[in-house]
Amino acid sequence: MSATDTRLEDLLRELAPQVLGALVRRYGHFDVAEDAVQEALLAAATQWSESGAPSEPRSWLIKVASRKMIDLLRSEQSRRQREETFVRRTPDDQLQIGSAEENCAEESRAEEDDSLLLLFLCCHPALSATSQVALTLRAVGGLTTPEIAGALLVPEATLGQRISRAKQQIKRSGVGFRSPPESERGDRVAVVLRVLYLIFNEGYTSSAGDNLVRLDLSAEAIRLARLLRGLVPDDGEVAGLLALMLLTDARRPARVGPGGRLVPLAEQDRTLWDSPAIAEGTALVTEAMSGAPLGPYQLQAAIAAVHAEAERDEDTDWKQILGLYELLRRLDDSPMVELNRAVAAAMVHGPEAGLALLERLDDDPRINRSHRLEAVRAHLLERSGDAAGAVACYRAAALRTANRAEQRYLDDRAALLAATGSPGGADL
Amino acid sequence: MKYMLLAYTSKADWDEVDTSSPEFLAMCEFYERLTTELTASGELVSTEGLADPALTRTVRKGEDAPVVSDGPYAESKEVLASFSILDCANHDRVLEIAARIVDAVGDTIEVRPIPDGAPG
Repeated sequence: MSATDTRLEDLLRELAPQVLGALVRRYGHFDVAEDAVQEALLAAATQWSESGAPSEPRSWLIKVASRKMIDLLRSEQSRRQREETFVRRTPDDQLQIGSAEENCAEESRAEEDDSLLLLFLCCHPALSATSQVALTLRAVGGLTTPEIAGALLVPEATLGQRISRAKQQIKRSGVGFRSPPESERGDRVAVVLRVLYLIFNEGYTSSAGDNLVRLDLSAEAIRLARLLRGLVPDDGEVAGLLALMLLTDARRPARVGPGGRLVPLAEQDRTLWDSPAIAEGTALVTEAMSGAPLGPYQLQAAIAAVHAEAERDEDTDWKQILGLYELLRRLDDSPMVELNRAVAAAMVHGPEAGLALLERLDDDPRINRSHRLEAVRAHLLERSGDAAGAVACYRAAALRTANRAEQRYLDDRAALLAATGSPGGADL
Repeated sequence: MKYMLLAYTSKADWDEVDTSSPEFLAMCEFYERLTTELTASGELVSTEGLADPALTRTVRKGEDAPVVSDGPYAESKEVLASFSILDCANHDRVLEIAARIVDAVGDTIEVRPIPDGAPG
């Protein structure tokens, strides 16, 4: 794609949520408006690449999308025998009747907030996580259905239906295009963060398939996280998530070796890490950590930052990392956190300490069938000198993962250990 | 005395409007001149053109709660295109203005008096 094409695409993606927000704010009909905006974006992509973008691209898109919306509404209406009805229940005590000044002030904030309101809408708790992801990528990310389907490794028709159903759900549940009440706002932002993190992880690793990394979705998640940070600049967890994404993604160039082989953190060529991303992420997390209270994303970002500041693997400040995992554990009881804490404990107190923590996870049904538990156990057994035990665990782990790059890594590790009979180098 | 003027366009005209045609531009100019004139005379209180009928929502009382639906639609032969509120000295004056609009633009205008409190 030429540089002009890329710039055009960037412009359209940036404008997409603003245009959709403008339409939904004025007319409602989120589902129809979203389709209309998609059509307008397609029209723009075709026409502007030939004759250049107009001087007011946003107005152009709003105008064209409005017309298409009217066309869609008319054709829908002519198909229907009766009017469709849906019920919106707003109890009297929740109706907001502001003063004229308040309403005017709200109008002028409108344009900035539209993207944020869209995010809240697409990430509404009434939707399933998969719906939230698909809808966010489409309505806020401005990606087309084929693009999203390709990135999520889902057939296009399936994704199209998923998005349609999500929009119908929004319509049926009467979810509005308005700010959540102050009391709910923290929770709603947390859901948005979770959706963005899901998107990022979809891009960062595939759980199945040949390649370890799908690039586009991680970049998209970072872009949306930046957008969110611009909209809610004072939120420490939002900053924390962006920092976490930047610091994690910075390692991407070193994560996959020749032949799509997985390169663990300890073995990565750190000169390949993206230093500007690390600098930005580190600065962000430092700033984010100065506020209270600390949330899980800030802590995870801090951990990533400690890893990133070590020039060589052996310089890693594991004590600090262990301390951060202790803190994280209080906020997040996920077994993955515990798994990572076991690794850190092993680095600080020796492999037996880590193995002891892993034993507790054997009873946790959320992780005791996961390849990761066996893989970490294998590493620690290797470090503790139990080569036979390690080989068995590597092989068990390889059987449990569907990702071919990971399989290869684990099998190679087992084979090396079995052949040499002696423990390999540093792990993970 | 205040009056509300409701301007109706035939559906055919609304659907087929060509915003680049000389007729349409002439209509816009007419409304602009009239607005200026009525603003200067102090008779214009408010006037707005309305969006496409497809964007209309109707809110009615339902069994449990208010019900919002799309419509009414396109069964109607006429489209409410715009409204204005004028403050005129008397009934004859407002009808005179309405007649000028009808003459120039072809719309049908409904004129509804707005009671000002005094019964007579």
